Amino acid sequence: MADHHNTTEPTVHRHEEIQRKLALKEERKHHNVSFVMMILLTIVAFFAIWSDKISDSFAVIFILTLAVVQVFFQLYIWMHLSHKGHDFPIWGMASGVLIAAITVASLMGMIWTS
Amino acid sequence: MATHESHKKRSGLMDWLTTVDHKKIGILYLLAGGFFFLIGGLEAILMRIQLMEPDSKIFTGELYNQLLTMHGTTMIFLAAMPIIFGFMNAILPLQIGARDVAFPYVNAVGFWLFFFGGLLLNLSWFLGGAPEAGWTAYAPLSTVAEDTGVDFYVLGLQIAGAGTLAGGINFLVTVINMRAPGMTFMRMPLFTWASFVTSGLILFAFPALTVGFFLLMFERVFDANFFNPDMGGNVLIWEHIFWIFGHPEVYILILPAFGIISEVVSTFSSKRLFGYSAMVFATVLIGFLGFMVWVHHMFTVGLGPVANSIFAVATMAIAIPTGVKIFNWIFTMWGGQIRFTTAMLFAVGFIPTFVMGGVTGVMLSVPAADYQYHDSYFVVAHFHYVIVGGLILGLFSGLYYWYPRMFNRVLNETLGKWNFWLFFIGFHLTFFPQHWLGLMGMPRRVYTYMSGQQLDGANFVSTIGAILMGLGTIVLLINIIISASSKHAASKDPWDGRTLEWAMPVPTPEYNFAQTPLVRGLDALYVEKAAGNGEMTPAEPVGEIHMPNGSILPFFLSLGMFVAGFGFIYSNWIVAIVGLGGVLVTMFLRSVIDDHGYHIHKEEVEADIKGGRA
Repeated sequence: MADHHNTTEPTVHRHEEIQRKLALKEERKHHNVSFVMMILLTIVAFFAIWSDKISDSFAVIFILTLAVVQVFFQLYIWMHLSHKGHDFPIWGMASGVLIAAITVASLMGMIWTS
Repeated sequence: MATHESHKKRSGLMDWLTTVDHKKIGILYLLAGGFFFLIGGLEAILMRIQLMEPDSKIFTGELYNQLLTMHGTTMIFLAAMPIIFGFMNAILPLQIGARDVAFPYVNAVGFWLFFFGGLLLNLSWFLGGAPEAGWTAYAPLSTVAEDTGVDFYVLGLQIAGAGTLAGGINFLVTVINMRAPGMTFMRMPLFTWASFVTSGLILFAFPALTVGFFLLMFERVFDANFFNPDMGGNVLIWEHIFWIFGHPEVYILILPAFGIISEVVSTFSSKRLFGYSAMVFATVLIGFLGFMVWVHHMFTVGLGPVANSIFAVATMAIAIPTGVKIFNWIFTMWGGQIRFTTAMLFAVGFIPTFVMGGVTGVMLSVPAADYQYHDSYFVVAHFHYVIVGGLILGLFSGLYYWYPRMFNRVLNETLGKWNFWLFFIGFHLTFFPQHWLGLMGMPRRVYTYMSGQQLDGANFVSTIGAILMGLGTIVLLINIIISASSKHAASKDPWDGRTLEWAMPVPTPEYNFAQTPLVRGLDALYVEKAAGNGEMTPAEPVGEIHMPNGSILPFFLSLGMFVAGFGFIYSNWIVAIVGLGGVLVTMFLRSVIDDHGYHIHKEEVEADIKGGRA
């Protein structure tokens, strides 16, 4: 595929190449940042429980929040949800999350609070 | 460009056991689903015979409970859903101009899992008695039952349900990824749209059932206590989980029927569907709302006025998109050149019948009134009006409509009309009186009633109606046998169709379209007919066609599950491990054996086109 481009329009091809390299570099930076962030988030979550400094009820909410942040890192940085062509996975996951949230919330409300 | 010569043509039984062709799997689904439909229908007629006269003693007590449980379970999981999957398999890829579904192998796995699951469940009749806790298997009734019936229910449906889930995912991916050039979402035929939304519902609803079955299985097989209040469990959890699955399930059933009716009404009115985009929106909305109404099955549980009111309002809201559909079908017919073929008769019969079921549905959605109707024959009448009067009439309509495409023969129209009238009149005779039986206080799921309570007449009429429905079904069987033995092949487009599935010769070539068609509007084939082309414009030159190889592995994978099911039912761990081991072996073989499929050469495709076979 590469030689096909070379024979027709070498300058355009060169330009594309540079752009792709830049994009890759940017992406690598994102990967590094999110990798460090995920390790940090895990350490924070671990210490929140291990240190016994905060109350249990707050700790649960706290580590759940951290978990949600991690899920977003995972989906958007590592599984490339932000890239083009991921409309359907996003729609699917969003509607799945919505239905699950409604179901779980109303179940908890009906079974354990009444 | 390497061609794979490993392809060998299989024939006869081996071809059907190994096929990954969506058209053949569609036929398998239809045959297996049809077989279970007959069994479920027989169970229904036996129940009606018991209820024909007061104080009757033909099928009493335990046996009656088994009949009613197996009737409901069989009809929902083993008859209605597989027949729907049959049509989805046979027609959906053709309607979007695809060569096959996205994952042909998974498709075969889905079918065989369903088949062996259904077989396992029905073998319970011969192995110590069928389940008797109702198709809803409410705890603690299902958890304390001593015999193995409920174990067969749990394991059989768990296996069949895995197959359904695989099928649902397959169709989602197929619709998203495999549409022909120009086939945008808003150009998809309504049946494809309905199947797409249904597959989404399967994806979200079946996991709830899977979890529920696992809990029930652990409760029964491993003495867990999820539903046992003495040990800190809660019986209500089962009801919630079951209906979180169960209500989307009824929309999984009815949406494809809506799709079929939309196709049939549009074709036989020779008009494009009225309000196409409203129909699409209504389908999606029904699917979405279907997840927020499950508590209307549990109004009398005592969840309190707030919960009941919220779910009541949500339930009533579903009447709005459904009403949109009803009016759109009527407006499609209005001013159309209507041809009353058998398929159209079923579709026209569907509309008022389904409206009647919908109206009683709105009545039932009022919690205060539901306290009166609950667990009475009024509920039985309601859900048979929407499932038989809706779904089954829709499936019959689809069968007569697509039969030429699937089986290369046209069903006899005279017999078809006998089939329709017998079934339609029988249906209303059976279920219309049951509204009154319910309002007069006859409880459902009870095997007898006393004389002198003014229940005799309506019950007698109801049984006569059930026998008429049975006769209608027998006429259909005769029709199928006659058509199979007739020499007259169907023409490729017997109904003057509007959508892509009528654009190929019969029998449909195994690669469907010799050249992927270019879609230039809604009702793609009609657009070309109106432009004077008569056939689809190809979107690609004639070329090699890549095809998947058949495989026997899906059969053995499902057989392994079947064996493991027996192991769990009888707590025989050796059998269970052997079965699951077989599953793992087939999975391993599938992973390590590199199967790239094979190519149909350009010359063969060209020869097919010349010979009128493609």
